Amino acid sequence: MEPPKSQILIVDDNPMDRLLLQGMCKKLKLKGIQEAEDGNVALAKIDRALEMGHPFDLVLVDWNMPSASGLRVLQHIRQHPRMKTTKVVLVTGHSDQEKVEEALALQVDDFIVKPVDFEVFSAKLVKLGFGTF
Amino acid sequence: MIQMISKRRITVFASLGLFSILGALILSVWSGHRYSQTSEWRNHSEEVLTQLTELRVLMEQAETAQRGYMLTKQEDFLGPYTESKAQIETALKRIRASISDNLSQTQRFELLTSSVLRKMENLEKTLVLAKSGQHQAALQAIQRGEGKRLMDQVRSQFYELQAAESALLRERTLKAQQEFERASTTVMLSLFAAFVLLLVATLLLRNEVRSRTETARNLAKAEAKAQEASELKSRFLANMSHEIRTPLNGIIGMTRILSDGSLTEEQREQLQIVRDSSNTLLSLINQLLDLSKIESGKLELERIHYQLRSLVQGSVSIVQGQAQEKGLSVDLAIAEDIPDLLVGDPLRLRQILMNLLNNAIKFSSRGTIRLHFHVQKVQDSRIHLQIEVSDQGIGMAPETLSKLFQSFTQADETISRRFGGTGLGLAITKQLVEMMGGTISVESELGKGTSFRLQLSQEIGQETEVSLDSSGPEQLRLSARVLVAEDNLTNQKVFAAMLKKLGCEFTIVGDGEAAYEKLQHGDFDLVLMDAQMPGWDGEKTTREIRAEGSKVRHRQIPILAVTASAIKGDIERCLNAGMNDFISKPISFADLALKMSKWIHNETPRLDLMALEKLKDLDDDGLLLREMLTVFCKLSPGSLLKLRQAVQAQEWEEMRREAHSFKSSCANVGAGRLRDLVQRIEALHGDELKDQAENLIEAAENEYRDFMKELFRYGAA
Repeated sequence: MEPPKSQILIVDDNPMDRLLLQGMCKKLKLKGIQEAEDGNVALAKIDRALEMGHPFDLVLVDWNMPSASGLRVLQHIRQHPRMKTTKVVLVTGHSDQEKVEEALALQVDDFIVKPVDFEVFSAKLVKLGFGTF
Repeated sequence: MIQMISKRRITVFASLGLFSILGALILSVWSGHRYSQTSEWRNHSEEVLTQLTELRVLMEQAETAQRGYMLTKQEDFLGPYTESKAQIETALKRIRASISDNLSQTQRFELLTSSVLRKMENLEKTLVLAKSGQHQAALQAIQRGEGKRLMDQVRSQFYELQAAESALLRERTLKAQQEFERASTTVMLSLFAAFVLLLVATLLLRNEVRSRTETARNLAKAEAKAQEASELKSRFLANMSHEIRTPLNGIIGMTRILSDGSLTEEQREQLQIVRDSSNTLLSLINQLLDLSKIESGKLELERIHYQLRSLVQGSVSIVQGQAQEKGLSVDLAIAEDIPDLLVGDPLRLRQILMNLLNNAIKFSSRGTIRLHFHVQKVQDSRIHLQIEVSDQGIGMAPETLSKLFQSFTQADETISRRFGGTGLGLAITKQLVEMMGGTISVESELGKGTSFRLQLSQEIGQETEVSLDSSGPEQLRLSARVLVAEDNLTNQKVFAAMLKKLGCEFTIVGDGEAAYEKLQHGDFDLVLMDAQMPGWDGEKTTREIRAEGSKVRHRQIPILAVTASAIKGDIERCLNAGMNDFISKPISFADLALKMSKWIHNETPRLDLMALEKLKDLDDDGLLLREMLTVFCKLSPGSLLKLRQAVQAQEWEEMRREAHSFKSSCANVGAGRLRDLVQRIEALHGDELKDQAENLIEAAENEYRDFMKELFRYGAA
């Protein structure tokens, strides 16, 4: 079965994390991957994709970023009616656990805890309908 | 120079003063002596005068008695006359003796004596006449007046003598008085001079003391200043070294990564030069850092338990490859009576040994490198070791030996051209040895080789006192599930007792197959594996456990070999088979506790190979791993720098943010300990920030360096 065509955005201020997430996505044979190095860039890219008529299907977003935080990105996506189907996965460190509730309230689709383990990553993404082993 | 002069001046004045006092003393003694001499003379004169008077009285008595007889003719008068006559003779003799020293008086006395004798003769003549009945003739003789004339003569001569003697007496008294006065004046003057001289000496001395105190104070000030400057230098050196090291690590990392890529032969060679140069620079900077730490007193020696043999073997195994490349053999001997468990600073001891071994290898092209450990003596739970590191290399001339341990000095300038090196190694070695309370000496002969001798004392480790993070073995509890594979019943009992004491759950099996079986079904944290067992031995069992298709639950479970250290190569075989560590028989509780705690506490690995393997698995050609490492090498120095700057500026939020991000990077490349350190930095709060941030950053920087080294080793494998 051919992997579904999808638009994926990886948002993380740490280039190594971006690299790692991208590597994992590639391992799952996912295509159409874009990156954003902070929240503001992410918001701009999301809006632009929306304008182009191809909103993102999956946004992997780091929680803890200097400019617009992961939460802010999540809010932005949830507020927009045309992105109802967009899946948002928060990537967090252990220390951010208490903020999970906030994210759940905003209907985040899933969490991945750093350091990201590929087995966990792939299981969660496959569950959300992305990629294949 | 000025001090010299004033010192001489004080001495001169003080001694002159003392001489004056001495002079006055001698003078007064002498004048006293003179005075007593003069008074003797005076007494003598007075005595002479008295004797003269006596004589005169006697003469008169004799004349009176003669006259009495002549007038009365009574015999009664003859008695006193005879008496006086006898006494006159003695008196004459006495006076002559008394005045014999004076010529003019003697002459006068002779005249007197003849007059006296004639008078007496005259008296005697008249008496003889009177006695024989010629009384009239006697009276006529008297009346002729010869007797009176003679008596007058006697008297006048007598007075003359008396006057002369009196004059003599007066003269002598006067002279004595004058001498006394002169002596007193001289003594007074001498004493006064002494007083003045001593006063001057005292004043000079006081000035001298004052000026010396001043000089001492200035000296202390200058010394403090110099000390400060030296500390400043050390601090500067330390800071600079840090700053240089960070980017340098980046360079080394990048060249390593580059060299893994596809390069032409020429490029590879050029890259090798870059790497070699960078490594040389890094080792120079590390040495500088060490030296500045030592000089600024920042370097503190640890005092922890360590195992001498494994430390030494570890050091030797590092240099073995180098030695073999140069065709050198390494002869290691550790005397059997040296206990294995010692207390000291193993890292620094290793540094010392490595420095000496590296030197020996560097300057040899043939022969054997000897590393021998002997016991000198054991005293008060300390063992005094003699460590000898010798080679059969190029050796050194006597004149270069003396400069050997100085900083930045290589024995011979041509050496650095031929062999490279910084000239810091031995200076650091010496300083470290001395910090440990030891000494180092060297013997060498040109062309024959060099021999370094270390005298070092170390505390003997107490088997019952294993310090692990300062908690003794009594407190040491290991809640772990341990599988013991051991066929010997006695050893089984020993393990059972020790594991019980440690608070471990344990299962004991008698052979390797049973152990493998247990690991399939049960959950264990650690395996103690006897190397020599019937059936599957430790090596075989370990290979089975670690094998790809192994059925055990936890393939990477820590396995500790239990070996008889006497069997050569046993340890190597076990480690090659995949065991993690080893415990030597006879089993010591301390050793067991130490090793088990190391492996059970899951001491975070410096380089988590699993993480790297996983990254490698993410794509087929390992490109992602390489890319990740490249980025890590590129970013880490910057991150460390940002952390340090944030700490220095006390921008804690910035520090936390950077730490948070960097922590994630570390985790991604399996830099376990570095990640932990960075996480600790991120978690700092309150007072901890100022107290610990700086230290943790330094620890992180060091750990980064060590991690990179380990990463390169992994890359090479």
